[in-house]
Amino acid sequence: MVITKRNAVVVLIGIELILNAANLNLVAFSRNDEAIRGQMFVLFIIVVAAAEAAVALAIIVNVYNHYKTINLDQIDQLKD
Amino acid sequence: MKPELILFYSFAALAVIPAVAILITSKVIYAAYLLLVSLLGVAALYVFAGADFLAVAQIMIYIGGVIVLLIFGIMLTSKTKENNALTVTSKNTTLGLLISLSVFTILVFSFLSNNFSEVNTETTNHKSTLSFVGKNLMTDYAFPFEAVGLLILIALIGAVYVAGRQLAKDSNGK
Repeated sequence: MVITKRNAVVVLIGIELILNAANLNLVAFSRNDEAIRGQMFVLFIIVVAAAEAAVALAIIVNVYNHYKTINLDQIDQLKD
Repeated sequence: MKPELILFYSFAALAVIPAVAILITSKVIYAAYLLLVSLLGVAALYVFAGADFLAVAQIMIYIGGVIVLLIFGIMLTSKTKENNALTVTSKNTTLGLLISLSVFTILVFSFLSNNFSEVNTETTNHKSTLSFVGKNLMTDYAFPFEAVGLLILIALIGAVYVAGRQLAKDSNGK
């Protein structure tokens, strides 16, 4: 999804799915851990993922205002 | 088959099937709502793994926050030159398929090479992890807690600045 899709928002959705897959593994393996270190790790990952989503969407809105498209193949210039 | 196991597999299907459907669908808004269903399935699986606080946090942060942000992002970027921002096109599908299959193979081999039957699968406690998580956050994880709070503050201010500057410029130009 992150590699093949050409829409910036769908790439972001793919990143969220990947982060959730990693979180699910950490939670599942911390089930037998008395100190639930995996769960604490996942808690911080969720917060960082929320921050990442906010910044990424702000960048997407900015790119859209500049290029009038969010197709990743057409965004190929740093300056106009 | 135990009823617990049937429930587990149905929630796992609730998490996996929408994730596959996101890959197949060609509409961005469908992808956002399918992500919502998938994240709900993941929250249910958190409950099965004994992480009740994380399940609630997942629902509140992802479904209450990230999905709403994504839908706002989709709505703000819907009109384009060629007028097809709401449909998704794919490229490099063979390359993507190759990479995903190779990662899948690595994961399957690493799981098969470990012997998970040795692990004690008996659930040790059915108590809520909430108080333990809270005590951990205030003692052992106090520094990461403060650092991540600072990080999200900076990230949100930055996001508002980056998105708001452009919007202010647009409204001044009109």
